[in-house]
Amino acid sequence: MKPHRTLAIAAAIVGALALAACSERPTATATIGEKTYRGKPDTNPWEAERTVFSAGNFAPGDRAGWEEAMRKRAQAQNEFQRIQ
Amino acid sequence: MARMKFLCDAERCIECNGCVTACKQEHEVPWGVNRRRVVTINDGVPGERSISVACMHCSDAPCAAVCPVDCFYRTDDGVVLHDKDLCIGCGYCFYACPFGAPQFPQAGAFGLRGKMDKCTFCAGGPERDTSQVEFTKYGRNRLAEGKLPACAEMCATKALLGGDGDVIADIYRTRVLSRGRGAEVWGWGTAYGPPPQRQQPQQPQQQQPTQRRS
Repeated sequence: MKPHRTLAIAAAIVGALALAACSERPTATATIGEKTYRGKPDTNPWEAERTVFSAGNFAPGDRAGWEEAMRKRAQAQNEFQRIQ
Repeated sequence: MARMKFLCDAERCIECNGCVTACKQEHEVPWGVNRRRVVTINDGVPGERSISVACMHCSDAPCAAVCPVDCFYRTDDGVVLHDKDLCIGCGYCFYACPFGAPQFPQAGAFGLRGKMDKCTFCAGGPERDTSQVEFTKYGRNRLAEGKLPACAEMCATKALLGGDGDVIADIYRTRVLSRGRGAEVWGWGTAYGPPPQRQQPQQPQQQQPTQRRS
């Protein structure tokens, strides 16, 4: 009887550990309204490594530089600015 | 802080579908999926107007409110994106969206829907920026490259403006003042709420003499 009891206790411990692995972990990174985002975290565009296609003069992580580059780029849509 | 928005000038849109083509080419969008399209009203009669429509990246996005798996999120610069690894293709977001933005590729026979696809404001998705995985799932990440959405930058008549809301609103204001008409900004009330009411200066309240009761 004793080996059976030990086996049952061991099985219960293993089962409890296995079920604990199934619990939901909070992964929220951003929310919209009252909803909580449950997907993968995303990085900000100003943190990206520069590639051969990159435009603007900003270093990775330079948020102010990125925003300034965006503002300049947006002004290219303003023909009143372009024809002056 | 930048707050990315689209603005379509119905006075200028000539229904050339250049924005649609630019989007499909830039992101290699598959057949049957149109992240952007041009809608024409009063077609062929006086008063005809065309508007380029895609996801407007709403302030209080209804697609996120109805999503049963909570796969939507908003970036710091106001772009509404979603995680395709979490999306189950239920289609609730399509019914909730006032702009008809969510698209579903046909993933097999019997009308089986694939994972939702929509305009990302050329901001990719929750994968490593400018990586091949991000491009395959969400398309090119132009914002990370320091560029604005391809549809707006490609627009020949500059009817479609994209970028920081304050900047494009200023551009549009200058344009409207110059031509003297066409101040209506289509879709902004629905997407970003009504414009803020100007606060009336509060008049000083007159103090009423208080009556004492014995």
